[in-house]
Formats: sequence, C-alpha cells, structure tokens
Amino acid sequence: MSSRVGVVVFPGSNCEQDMVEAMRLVGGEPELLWHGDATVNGVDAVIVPGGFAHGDYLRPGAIARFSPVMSAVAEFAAAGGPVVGICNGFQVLTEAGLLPGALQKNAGLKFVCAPAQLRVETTNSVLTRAADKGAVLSIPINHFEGNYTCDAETLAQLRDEDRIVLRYVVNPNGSVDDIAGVCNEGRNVVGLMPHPERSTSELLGSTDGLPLLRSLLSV
Amino acid sequence: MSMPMSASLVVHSPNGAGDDRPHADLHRIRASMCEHGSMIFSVHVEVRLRPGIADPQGSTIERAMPTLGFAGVSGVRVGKSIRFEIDAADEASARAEAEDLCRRFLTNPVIEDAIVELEPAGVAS
Repeated sequence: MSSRVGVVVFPGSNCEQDMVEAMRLVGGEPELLWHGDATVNGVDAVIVPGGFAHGDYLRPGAIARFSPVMSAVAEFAAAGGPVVGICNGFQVLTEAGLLPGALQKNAGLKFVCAPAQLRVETTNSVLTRAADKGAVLSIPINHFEGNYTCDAETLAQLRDEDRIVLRYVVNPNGSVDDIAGVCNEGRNVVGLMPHPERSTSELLGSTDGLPLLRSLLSV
Repeated sequence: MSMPMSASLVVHSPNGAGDDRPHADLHRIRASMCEHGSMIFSVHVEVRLRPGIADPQGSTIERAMPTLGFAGVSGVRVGKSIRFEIDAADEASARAEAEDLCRRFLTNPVIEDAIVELEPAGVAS
C-alpha cells in the first residue's frame, strides 16, 4: 500500500525536494503542501522539512507556526496523524507546541554540518517502528540551533514515558541528555535535528535514513 | 569605564530612550487622550533568556573578554530589544496587549521571558 505524504513548504524551506525524492525512493507518494493553504489535503502523513522558514526571523519556527497550514497540521496531529519535523521542522513543531522543549543555539556557537551517529532509543514512534532498538544510525546534521533544551520536569517525563526517540552517541551541540529527537505523548508527532532524507543512498555515504522513512509509510 | 551621567539619565527618561521632551508634553498628551479616547503608546520589549537557561552567546562573549583586557566581567546574558507602537484606549489595555503579544509571539516561554516598558507617545489620529 502506498502512502500519500505531504511535505510542507514555507518561504525559506530548502529540504522539501530532497524529502520528495527520498519518499519516492521508499515507495511513498509525496506531494508539497503550501504554507498558505489551511489544509493537509487528505494525506496519510505530514513532514515539516528543514530550511529557514520565514528566514528564521525572531526565532526559528516562530513565524512559521502561524502559517495557515500549521492549524491544519495541528488538527491532523490531534487526530493521531503521523507528523515528523526535521531540523527547522523540529523547531517549527516545538514553537507550535506540538512537541515539548525548545532548540537553542549550539554550545560554542558552532554551526555543525557532519554525519552524526544516532542511537534508536525506542521503536514506539511513527518514525522508528521499522527500525531496530539500540541500532546506531549514521545520519547527517546541519544546523546552528539544534541544542535541545527543556526544564527538568519535562526531561523526567520524556525519560519516564520513553519519548526520547533518538540520542547522539557523541553530543555535537550541547543538547540536554544527548537528545537528537523526541515524540509527543501520542507518539505520532516526532521531531529530530538530523536529516534522514540525506541518508538514502550509498552515493550520499549512508542509507541509514531509509528505515526511518519507511516507518512513516508503515503507520 | 563609566557612562556619563547624562547618558544614563536619557536612557531612564520616563519618555523613553532618547526622548527628551519635557514632562509637560506628556501631561498634554494624557489630557488629550481623555478628550479623544485613543492613544499611541511607544513600547520597548526586552526579551531575555529565563534564569537557569544556558546562554551559548553570552558565555562565548564572556570567554572572549579576558583576551581584550576585560578581566572582571561576568554574568553575560544576551537578549533582544524590540520596539513598536500600540494604539489603545488607555495604558492598562496597551500593556495587556503588549504582554499578550510577548507571551504568544515575541518570546518562547520555554526559554525566554520579557520586560515590557511603555510610554504615551501621542494621540491616535
């Protein structure tokens, strides 16, 4: 069965075509969702891709969260629909309140563009159900504001509820508890800083993003 | 290095930074607000990282200071300064709107809070 996957496009998004290619590769039917349209167009899953939505003005994601499409995405998520935010998309989802915490500037103010080793901490999420728990994936990161932060209470809750989806093996940005990705209570909304769409071919250096993208189609 | 006293006075002027109009002007503005019912407030929002939230910019700046010869500086925190005007019936409603704007948009309450300063700036046309 093929799934229709909506990839949201804001002014300043720049990973949407990579994601479209990647979803085709794993057998999905990708389509772009324009930020100004207040609908997800009946898709089976939504991806908020990376980039610099609205120029990252004020804070990354701060303006994008008010785009008409985001109310439709919130509604879709509330109904249990799978939503994944990658990099800037993760920032948008935290700003929109669909995921807890916030993403700050990297420790040391360093822009990091490099392959990262990620450990799959749970397979109980829409992004990891086709992956293996404990597996270490090599997937690139490419960000300046990926330093995940949240208060102690939220962190304890994320740990207790098994909602830390991916951890860095070596922390590249100062994220609390080495967090690379988290999910919501319903486990249908996931945010992560690494780019699985860039790990889909040996030509790109890794195919470790494929099990994550396939997870989204198997929901 | 110490700031000249006069600069410090301008910054803390009740009219707002750089505004040296005499207080009589503000009284006149307030009086005409009563006549006209709507008024413009000049708003300054300082967005700050909440206490306890790590500040990578602040700590990087702080680490650079000894190399420039500033040995005794500590506690550096970097924030944002945002200025705008609000058209409102009175100061209380202007402040309520500015604070709502801060809570819902200008700050991310997970990591930031804001100080709102507000001054009458004229009568709405």
